[in-house]
Amino acid sequence: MERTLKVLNQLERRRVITRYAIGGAIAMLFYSEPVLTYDLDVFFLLPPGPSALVTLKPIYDWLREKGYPAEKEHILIEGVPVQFIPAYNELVTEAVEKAAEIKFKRTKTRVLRVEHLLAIMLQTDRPKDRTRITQILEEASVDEKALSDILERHGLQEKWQAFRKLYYGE
Amino acid sequence: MANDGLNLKMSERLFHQKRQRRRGLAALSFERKIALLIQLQHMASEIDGVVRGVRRTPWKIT
Repeated sequence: MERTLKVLNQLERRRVITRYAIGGAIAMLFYSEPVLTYDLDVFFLLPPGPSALVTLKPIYDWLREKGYPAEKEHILIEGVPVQFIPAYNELVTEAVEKAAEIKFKRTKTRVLRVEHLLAIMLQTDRPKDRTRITQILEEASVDEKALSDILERHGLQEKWQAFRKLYYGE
Repeated sequence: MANDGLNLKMSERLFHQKRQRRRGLAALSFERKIALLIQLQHMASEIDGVVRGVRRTPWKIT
């Protein structure tokens, strides 16, 4: 895992990507009890380019040159299947920009803040996202004010109220 | 039933203990959780192999 993170940091240093942060189930694992997953989801920002079209080609090319093969939607980096997800909207972009700096052993990395993680899950709204939201609320320490600000900024307050009403009868 | 109150109390205690255990696991270090995740992947992979005949590969990390 540490070697995988070192490769991600190299991607950033070489300016193949501008910035990355761990999201998905591994970010959730940072805040809650371990849950089964096989993927390391990496949200990233790209350097500004001539085209508005986002392409993963520079990432795939750079990693292939380094000997990391693509396997379907993943790239296997040091034994870990990594899925690269471009920041696809304003919420995810903000989440990557404000991600928490952490260390895994001796290697620096970033993980989405729990409040952004909750907001993204609420926005994505798959059944597994709803389950994960309830788990995080039970196990993690959440800054209610920060969460409320994020939900407000991204038009998710109403959805959040509906979620709370459905699951907690509030 | 006469035992209903007792069963309720017992189940409340059990759920409380389970909650506490989950919170304890949540408080572990990230490194420790990744190690536990890999154990989970091995266990799930074994079950997948038996039930579905297809195994997902646990992370091969050093």
